[in-house]
Order: sequence, then structure tokens, then C-alpha cells
Amino acid sequence: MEEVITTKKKKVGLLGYAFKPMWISLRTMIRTSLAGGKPNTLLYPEEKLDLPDDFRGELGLVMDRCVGCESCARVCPNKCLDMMEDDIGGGLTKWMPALDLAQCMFCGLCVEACPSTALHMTNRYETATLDRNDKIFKPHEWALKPEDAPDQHPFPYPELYEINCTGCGACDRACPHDVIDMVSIPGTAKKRPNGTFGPEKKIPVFDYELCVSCALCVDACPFDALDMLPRSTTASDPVVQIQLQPQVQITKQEVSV
Amino acid sequence: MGPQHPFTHGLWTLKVKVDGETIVDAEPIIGYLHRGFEKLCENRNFPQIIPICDRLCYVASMSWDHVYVSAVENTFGIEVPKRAEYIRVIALEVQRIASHLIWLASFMTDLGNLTAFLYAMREREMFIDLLQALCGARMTYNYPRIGGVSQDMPRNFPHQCTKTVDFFEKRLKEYEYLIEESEVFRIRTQGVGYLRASDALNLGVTGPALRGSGVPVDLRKTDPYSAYPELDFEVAVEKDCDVYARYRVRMNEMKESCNIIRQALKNIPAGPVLGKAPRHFPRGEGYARTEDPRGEAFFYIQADGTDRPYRVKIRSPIFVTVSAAPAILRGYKVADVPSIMGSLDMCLGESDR
Repeated sequence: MEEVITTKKKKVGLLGYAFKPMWISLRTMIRTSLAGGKPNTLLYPEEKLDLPDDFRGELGLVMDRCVGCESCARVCPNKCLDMMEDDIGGGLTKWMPALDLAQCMFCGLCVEACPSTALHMTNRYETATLDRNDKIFKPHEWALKPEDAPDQHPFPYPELYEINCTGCGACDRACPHDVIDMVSIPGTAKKRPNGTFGPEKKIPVFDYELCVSCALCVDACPFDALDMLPRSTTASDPVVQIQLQPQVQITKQEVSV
Repeated sequence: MGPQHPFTHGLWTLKVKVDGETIVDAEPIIGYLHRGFEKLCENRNFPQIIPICDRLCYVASMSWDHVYVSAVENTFGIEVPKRAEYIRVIALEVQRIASHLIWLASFMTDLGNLTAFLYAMREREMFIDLLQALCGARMTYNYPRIGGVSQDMPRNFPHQCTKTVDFFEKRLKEYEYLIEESEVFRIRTQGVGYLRASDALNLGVTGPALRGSGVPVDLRKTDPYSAYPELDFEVAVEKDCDVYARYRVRMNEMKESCNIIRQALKNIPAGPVLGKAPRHFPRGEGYARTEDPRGEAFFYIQADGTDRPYRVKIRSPIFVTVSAAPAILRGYKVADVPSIMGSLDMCLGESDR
């Protein structure tokens, strides 16, 4: 390994040896202390950083908004959310997520998955504790007041892309609230060689009044024919009527006749 | 030397065989930080892997998120909106500067220059603040999504970003005064840690270490991805092959990143930031490779039609670069080891996985 290294050494100037580095440090010292500049550090427990609004801190739940759809529990990578029945006051109980904050990795996927804006990541970040069990919260223990959370977004509802739909009915079977009806389209039956007609093509029709936006139908659909799109909460809303697909409305009328 | 030696940034050992003070042979021993990452990925569905990709490299999380996400997009042919691509480029370049700054800080502590350490950490804070404004977390960003990014940038972000970049370029000149004009730094870096271009290519070294050996390979130019083809920038190359050259490459890259951020902010189109991602993933396999701050990062995904990947393979740039350590170290003194290994920018999170 005899090797001739021919690197030309660049020379530092006459001022280079110690003067220029010292000059930089001196200038910084003057800038930060004598010329009225602020130091770059904070005295932590007394002073705290200004955090942006969307800082991902400790999770909080707005109990009034939660619809119990379990989207957050399904999407959580660490399985730190678990659903349980809990009091919401007035002798009523509700199906809501409980939180194990010791397992949470603050990824924020549950907040994105929540259809009702019930989950919110607060600016609290001092979560240290002596006992791991202190960080397991029942739903009412990690509840937030609605004022502390951002405004509620419009609920997303399942929307059908009819081209992809094969009428298999997987969404109907997956729906926990009888939102979906499989409705046949008249005139789509194929004629068989022996003269009889086969089954008609079916598509799902949604009763949005019952829907809780749990997205189970979207997960169940094997052909990606469904997507969750935000729309306003009542189907009688004029905005929604424009968005409704014309084919779906027509079939609904024909079936009811 | 290691795993408790002050020059090892992370947990790894360097077995050095010496003849007097001269190094005869060296053998890096890694694997103390092995977490079974590739196996972990097989037990999570595709969107759930993004937050754990942050933990691959805790210094450059954003670039690892991006590699994974673009590998999924390549595999299933998912289109990304133009605006999302630009935001990703901005985030990646900010991340590159932050990563190089933490390299500079740790490299300077190796060489005993604590002032530069504090300066570099101070400037890194500004870039971390930028990323925090973008995605709400300081280190584990979880920002890219399959088919875009999680949220649009805040309204005052372009202004804040330009201000930071302008300010940082002034500070970069200060660094050059502080570091390069010192004779001690020159003696410890110039002509030390000679890595021939042929050696570098044969051993699979990528990134600044390869470019410091005079090989102009930068995946942003040679195999463009994301919005890089539309941006005009230069690849930083130095011909000296020594520690000083690798240092210069990284300093020039920081300058070039500032340019890219400015251009991207100027050309960024309006539009949505998150496209439609499928909920069900078909069978298929694909990969993505990008220019990480440390070299070529590679992610291979094999999908078998379920919601989880069947196999994930990660090529970590540092895992390969550290294998060149014996070739670089041979013939130098023991006192040169911190300077040489420091110039390779070790990051154990990604190499042990």
C-alpha cells in the first residue's frame, strides 16, 4: 500500500492562524450579549417555546363529538387506543376510545382518521411520570373541552365510483348501521342462452342520515369503488344534492314505485 | 475503540490493529442498534409504516419517510400532485441542511472545536423550527403520505423559509472563517483519510464521501425523482479525496440546498397536496432510491395483495460506507481516526435497522 498522496495544501493567510476564528467568536459574543441581542437558549421550566398550532403533543378527546366509529383504534400503529363504554354525564354511556399514552408515538394518524374532529393533539408535551399505569386513561380522563379543540370539519361520507362497483355487497355486509341498501338497476340483467334473465346489477345506495362515517364500507370494498368525501351533515342540504350522483337518485325513485 | 468512545456517534465499535501508532487494519463492528425493522414492517399496513420510518435515521427522518413513500408510489403507480412534490423537495432540502449541520457539529467536537459545535446546533434549531411549522413535530415528522403530504404548508411558511435561508447563508460564511481559517483544522484534515475514486466505487460508497473523491454522482441529477428535474442546481464535487474534500462537499451542498429551497418556493404551483390513495393494494413489487444526506437510500417493497408488505428491504448508505473504513484508515495514525470516521457521517439508526 505505498501510495503517493499529492494533495496540494491550501495555505491559510497570515490572519488565518488564530485571528479570523477569534474575530468570529468575539463578534458573536458582542452580538449576543453586549449589543442587546438575546441568547439562543431558554431557561426551560420558567420560559417555554412558542409552539405552532398544529404541534403534535398529548392527545385529547372531545367526548361530545365522538361517534364511536373505531377509526382511530383501527389506524393506530401501536394499538394504544382501545374502545370502551364510558359515562358522558346524565347517566348516559357512550362507546369511546381509551388511551394508553405510554405506548403512543405521537404520529397523529388517529387525528387524521377521525371523521368527526373529536381527536386533537394539544400543545402539552410534559408527559413524564413515575408509573407507567398513570398514563392509561379512560375516555373521560383524557377528555378535552370543545372550546380547546379546533372547529369541527364537515363529516366525510362514503361516495360511490360506479365504474369500479361490481355489486358484490361487501359494503352492505360491513356496515354496522344499515346505511347501505343494495339496489338493483332495472334493465341491466343479461339474457342467458336458454332465454331466462340473469340477476340485475346492484349498486349500494346510502342513507346518509344514519351514517356515522366509520369508513368500514370503504375498507371492505375490494375494488376501491368507495371513497370518503366531506359533505355537509344532512342529505337535504342543497350542496349535497348537487353532489349526489344522478344515477343513484333515479334508481331510488324507480325502486320505490 | 467504542462503543463508549467519544468519537463514536451512536453505538458501534471500531477494532483497530496498530503497529506502534500506525493503523495496520481496522474492522467496524455494528449491530448494537438492531431493532428488526424490516420484520417490523411486515406486521404493519402500508400507512402505518410511515411513522416508524422516522425512527430509521433520527437525524434525517424526512428523507427516509420520503424514500418509503415513493417506493410505495412506484410500486402501485400512485400519482402525486405537483404541489405535494414541491413541498416534499422543500422539506427534504431543509432536512438535508439540518442533517449536515448536526454532522458539522459532531465532526467539530471530534476535532476539539466546541465553538463551531454550538454555532451549528444553534443554526440547526432554525431549520428544525421550519420543519416543526410544516408538520408539527421536531424530530419524528411523519409528514409525507402515500399520494402526497399530510397537510399544506402554513401561510407564512414561504416568508419564514426565505428569511431563514438568507440568514443561514450569511452564517455559512462565518463558519468558513471560523473553521477553515484555522491551521489546526487544516493540519488534521488535509491529506488525511485518502479514499481513491476507484476504491470508493468498488466498495459502494455513495453520497458526500464519493463526491469528495471526485465522482460526480448525485441521484438528484443522475436519476431524478420528485420535482428535482425542474429545478436548476449543481452537484458539489471535490477532487482532493481527503477529509477536507468531504467537508467542502457538505458545505457546498448546504449552499446548493439553500438555492433549491429558494427556487422551489418561487416555482411552487397551487393545487391539492394529497391525491387519492387506494385502500387496497394489489400484488406487485417496486423500489425507490433517493439521495439521502448520507448517500443513496434505497427501499424495496414486495406486496402480496394484502394490506401489508410481504418483504421490505432497506439499503442504508452508511452501512455500505462504513465498510470502506479499513481502506481509508490503513496507513494513518490512531489520532487521525476521529477525523476520518467523523467525515463519513455515521448514523447507526439506519445502518443497524
